[in-house]
Amino acid sequence: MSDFLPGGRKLALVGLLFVLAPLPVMGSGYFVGVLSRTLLFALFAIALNIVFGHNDQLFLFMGGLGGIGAYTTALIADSVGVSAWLALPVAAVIAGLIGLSVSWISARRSFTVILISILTLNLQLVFSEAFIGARGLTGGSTGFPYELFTLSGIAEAAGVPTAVVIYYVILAFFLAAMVLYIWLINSKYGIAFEAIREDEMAAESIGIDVVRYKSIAGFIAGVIIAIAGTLLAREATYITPSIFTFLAVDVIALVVLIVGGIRQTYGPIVGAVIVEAIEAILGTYAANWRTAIFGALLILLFLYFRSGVIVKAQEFLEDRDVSLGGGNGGTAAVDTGGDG
Amino acid sequence: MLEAANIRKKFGGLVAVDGVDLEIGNGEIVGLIGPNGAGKTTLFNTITGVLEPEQETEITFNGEDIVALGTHEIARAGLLRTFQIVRVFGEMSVFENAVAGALFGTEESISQEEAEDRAREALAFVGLEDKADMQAENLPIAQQKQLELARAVASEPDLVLLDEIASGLTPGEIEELSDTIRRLRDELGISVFWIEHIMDAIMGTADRIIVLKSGEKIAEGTPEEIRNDQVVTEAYLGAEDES
Ligand SMILES: Nc1ncnc2c1ncn2[C@@H]1O[C@H](COP(=O)(O)OP(=O)(O)O)[C@@H](O)[C@H]1O
Ligand SMILES: [Mg+2]
Repeated sequence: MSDFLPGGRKLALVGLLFVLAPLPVMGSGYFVGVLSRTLLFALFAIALNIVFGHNDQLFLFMGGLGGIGAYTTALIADSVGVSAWLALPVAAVIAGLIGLSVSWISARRSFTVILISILTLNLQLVFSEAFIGARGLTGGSTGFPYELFTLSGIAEAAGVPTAVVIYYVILAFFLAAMVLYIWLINSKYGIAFEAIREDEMAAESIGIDVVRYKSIAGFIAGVIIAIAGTLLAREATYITPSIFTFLAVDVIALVVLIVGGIRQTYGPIVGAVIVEAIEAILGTYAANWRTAIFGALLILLFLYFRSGVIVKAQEFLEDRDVSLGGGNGGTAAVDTGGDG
Repeated sequence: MLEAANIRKKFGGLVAVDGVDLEIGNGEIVGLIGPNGAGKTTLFNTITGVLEPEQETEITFNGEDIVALGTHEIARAGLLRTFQIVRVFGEMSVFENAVAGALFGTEESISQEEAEDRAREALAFVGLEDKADMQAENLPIAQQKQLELARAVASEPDLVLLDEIASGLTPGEIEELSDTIRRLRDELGISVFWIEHIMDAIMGTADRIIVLKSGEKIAEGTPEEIRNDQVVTEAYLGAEDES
């Protein structure tokens, strides 16, 4: 497996850990929910790692794209009368094409990372308005129940809570995204991404089609974000526009990625575990301050902690002459990339 | 190989390149000299599609019209360049830089193994094989310039454009580099179009030299002819008076 996928063994270990994770807490809907959200935000952060970490395109409409995925899946399933399993890929491709278009336009016009973030933040606001405004399709701010994918049937047959089945579906998508990420970064695409991130003009000068690769990154991110958004609604069992706001999705996904470590293969999952733990604690003691605290945390992270916990831990251990051992899948150039 | 007629490029009111004709044949090493601000780098940028030239400009490479092509398409067609201020991928290893050159610089799509083979050959060609695992930004400038050349060579180009590749090097390093450039042509069959400030390096290596001043070609000939050209001497003296 390691031949096919660098660091495949490590991923298998992480996978196993998360396969076993719900077993002790199966009866608690709350804890299973925390685990599901952990993987969902890891999924958002993987998308962000590809498009922002490796391609300097700061997508601040992850909530919006996630909502596009969730609403479109439900609408297709409902209006065409097909299974949500067939509707989801269509919705994901639609979100992917939106991501691709944004990347294509930004790359063609040489938008800086700041311009892309302003553009996408505007789109986020537009999408949020649309989710509320298109009452006929979305149910407005009251939303509608979201119980697609016939998972309760499976749960009944297996004799476990539906939330547990949802968790394993999310886990499957998370692992698939990890495999895709590791493969991507170690392929020709990874080299192109790294070259473009370091020096676009030099990349062009050696034959790299910068617009094409950035657009591909935008497409892949859009697809992953749409899947994560759809599963987010399914996990909540009820869809409302408030699930897909900038504060609810983008801020958290950014914190997750930065805490875990940008351009680190395991950054998204490590960051998601930490952030969800903080969320759980805040939920108990300071729920009202949640948004303010995450906003402040994001600022602090950008100022002082841009390399993330994985790199910090490695530095800490290296100072003490201990090796973590086992590469984490990325190329050398990618793994050492930390502070921008 | 490279044929261009009436290359023009304006920056607002400034005509940086003003109707230059040129031709570079197979297996030629052609020098491009001229005082600072003559438009040499701008000429390279228009040829390689970094800058869009004026309407009347005609440039063909191996018979193909490349005026409307993007930089990456021109690179894939076999026309590579290096930069006046070196632009290696600093966070990548020396080897990865060369692999990137091999992977993307050709029209056919090649395998990772094939790209790695070509990268190793290119690094050996410029004498950087021992540094393959070093991070590129940790190389001294002279070797970063060699790496930039290796990255271009790895794509097996037909023509490379070198922009002041010898500047900032010691006389010994310049000697070595001139030798590498000759071998580029003799061993790999790559033609060279070379901007250089350091006269000794280019006079001793180029087959033919083109002189640019204020965007215009003011002379063209063998190094010997250029050395003895009254107009060229005056152009350089004039430029020195100004500065
Ligand atoms: N991107 C640009 N925008 C505006 N003016 C430029 C630009 N690039 C070069 N120039 C101007 O064009 C002229 C030629 O510059 P350049 O081609 O760099 O000269 P050389 O390489 O011969 O020293 C100079 O006057 C320079 O200031
Ligand atoms: Mg110049």
